[in-house]
Amino acid sequence: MSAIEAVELRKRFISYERIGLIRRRKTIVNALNGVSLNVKWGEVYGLLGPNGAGKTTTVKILSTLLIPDSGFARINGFDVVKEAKKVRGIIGLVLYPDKGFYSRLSGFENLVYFGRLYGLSRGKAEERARELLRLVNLDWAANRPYEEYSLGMRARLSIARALIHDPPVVFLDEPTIGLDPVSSRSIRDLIKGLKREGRAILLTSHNLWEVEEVCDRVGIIGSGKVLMEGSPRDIKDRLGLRYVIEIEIEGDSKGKVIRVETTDPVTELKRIMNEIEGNGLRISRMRVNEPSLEEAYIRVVSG
Amino acid sequence: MRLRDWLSLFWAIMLNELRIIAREPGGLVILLLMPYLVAGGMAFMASFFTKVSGIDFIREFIGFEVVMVSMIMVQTGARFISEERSGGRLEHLIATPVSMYVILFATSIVMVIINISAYLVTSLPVIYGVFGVIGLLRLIPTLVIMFIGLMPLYGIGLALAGVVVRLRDVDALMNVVTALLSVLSGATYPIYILPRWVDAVVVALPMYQMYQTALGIVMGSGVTGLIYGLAASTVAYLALGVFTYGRVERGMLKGGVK
Amino acid sequence: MVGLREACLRVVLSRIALEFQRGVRLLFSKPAENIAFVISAPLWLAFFILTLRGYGVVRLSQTDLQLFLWVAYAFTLYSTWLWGFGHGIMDEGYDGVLEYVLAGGEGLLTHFTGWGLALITYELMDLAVIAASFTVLFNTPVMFINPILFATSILLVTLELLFTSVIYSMLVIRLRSNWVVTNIVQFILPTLGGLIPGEVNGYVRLINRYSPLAYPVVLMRESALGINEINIPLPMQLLYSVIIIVALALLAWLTVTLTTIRLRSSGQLGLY
Repeated sequence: MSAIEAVELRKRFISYERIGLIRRRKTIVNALNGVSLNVKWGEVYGLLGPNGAGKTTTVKILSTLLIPDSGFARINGFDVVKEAKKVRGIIGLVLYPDKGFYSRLSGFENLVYFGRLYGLSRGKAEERARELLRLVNLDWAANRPYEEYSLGMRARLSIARALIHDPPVVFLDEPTIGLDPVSSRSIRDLIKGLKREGRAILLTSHNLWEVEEVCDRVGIIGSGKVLMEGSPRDIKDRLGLRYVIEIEIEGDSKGKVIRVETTDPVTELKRIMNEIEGNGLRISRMRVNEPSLEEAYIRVVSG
Repeated sequence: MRLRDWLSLFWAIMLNELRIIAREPGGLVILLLMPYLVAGGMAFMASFFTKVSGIDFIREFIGFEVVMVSMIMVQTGARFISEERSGGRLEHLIATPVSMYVILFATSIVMVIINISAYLVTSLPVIYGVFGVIGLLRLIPTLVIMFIGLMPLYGIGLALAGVVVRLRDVDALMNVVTALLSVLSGATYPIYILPRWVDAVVVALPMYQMYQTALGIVMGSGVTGLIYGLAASTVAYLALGVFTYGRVERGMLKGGVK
Repeated sequence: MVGLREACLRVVLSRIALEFQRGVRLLFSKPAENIAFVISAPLWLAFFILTLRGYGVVRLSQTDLQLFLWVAYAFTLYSTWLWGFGHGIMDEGYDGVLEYVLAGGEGLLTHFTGWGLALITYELMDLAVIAASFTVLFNTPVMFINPILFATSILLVTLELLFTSVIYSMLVIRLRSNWVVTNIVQFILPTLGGLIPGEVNGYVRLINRYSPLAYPVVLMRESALGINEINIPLPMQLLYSVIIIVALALLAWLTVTLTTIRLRSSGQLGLY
């Protein structure tokens, strides 16, 4: 059984735009047009897509905050619509890294409160809160009011809240947006730690480098559909993206740079090195540039 | 979940709400001073036209108290969803296994307790001044009346929450609602001066029932039949609030929290 | 030198005009708010009069009704300015607008002045709604005995409230929460500011005569009703009003300057 399973999710929003003082115009937005995905236990699944592609809508459906128009989704076998309460007890959620807490309460008080809402006893909630504040490196600010927290601190507190009841499934909607490199790295390390514990994690992000580093599989979503899915390497191979091998050689042709594009870097590298050595030349510098996920992403979303 | 666990959870929600309110003591001070300022100011103005006795002042003072705490309860119910939404907390609260009704009910109990406490503290000197110790004894049952009477007002607030959530301009709507409900409170004037149909609306609202019942007890004239009306209002308006909130939450789950 | 002075004046005036335009645009960008005011004003008036009835005030003479109209209008003015400005400053702080205003080289006083002048449109709307409510509720036409003096007094009241509100908003920034300050100030300031007519009582007349903040509001009432409430010749009242406004303007400038310096050094310009 998958940890997270979504089959043909569809969702449409109706909004009204005001024109002038009284008149309104109805607009229909097809947010999801049949999204299907699967996340296994111990896997980090990255959901990528441009703004408005349907990532947050997908996360909200999976976390029981939105009812799909059609299709179904299950978390650990529980239906997100019919068994919402059971699902809520086993998921952790980060929706907004910079808000979602009571400003005048401290980080510790906020965590304990949400822990209680997740069914923990007072003692257990306090123990978990202290443990998680240490984990996210916020124990020194535990008693400061939330309104005094910086953006990085708020993001880390959001992750602590998502883990307060030790859920096996975690949804992270752009958890590192606006964070400095040090904070982002600490969150990535946290995510890797959660994965090692066997949890299933669904992550959305615009930071493709981060997705590539952390995610086992990636789904690229566009216009409400999953356009392509697989490991970052698979996706690049499927798109036929090329590696670039650059070799600087010494000897008779001093300072010459050989540049080759290939989809099979290992074979091509062997061939070039044999050729260079066969000609009695020496390599002074070598670099293999792997195609980036960004290239793959742009290729997929721009059709 | 066992009963003990439910009570513990309920208590945790109430404690959280109390903590949030306690971090803004200025609001509590205003709650204590406002009846004196308003009732006192109006008495001052009225004194230029007619003689204002202690009984008149008590009557109006209790009336203003009722109006003030009633408006606070209505606002609390009406604004809860929109405030949690703008704070980014609403979805996180919905995403917990605890029903939002439990959270709403626990929050309302805290507000009722605070309002009743404020009513008690502000009324003590005035009632003692006019009625002495007997007045203080009569104050105690009025606390129960206020407790019963404030719950339907929360229900009215919840019933308005759906409109508040749709309208982005919460303050504008609540200004109108507060003004309208203040006029329809029937707590600071004799209602027979109003047109008959307005009279009927005033009598059907919990503020008038609460005011007349509490005033009767304080004045020593006992409890009137309005207490049955108050009990009926509590059931009716709370049911309305619960029903309306249910629709709002279903609407949010279908259309998203915007 | 004269050219430079003229050029500076032109720049300041154009900035004020820009702020005025922005202020008007913002004031009327929320039609719900404007409509809410139109609906709630007569309701509050009705509540006020009904409550007086609760105290046993059975009959009100024509003069009393007219005085109540101006008391209601004066109270609305005080609330609109203090609440509008207080809330507005906090909103601008939250949204980071104040920092951009300062970074753009504009002084906060210019910013507030232009914005404040835009509130005149709201004041006139207030007046129309309250006057209409009174006419409908009490079947009483509103009196404007001396329209020119009335118009002048409206301008004086506007300027007085503008600078008072600026000083008040600096308090808001320092105290980080405006509604506590507003609720207290909303009662004290109007009492010293001529809200209560001197006709009701000798003590009130004394306050209105000797409180400089009262003159513009008292003048507004006197010009509408054709009375002399505080027994000071009207030209003198006009002169005192102008003097107090100049004094408030200087105090506002000083307060804004000191607060800006202090906020810049403490880094609290974003307020939070």
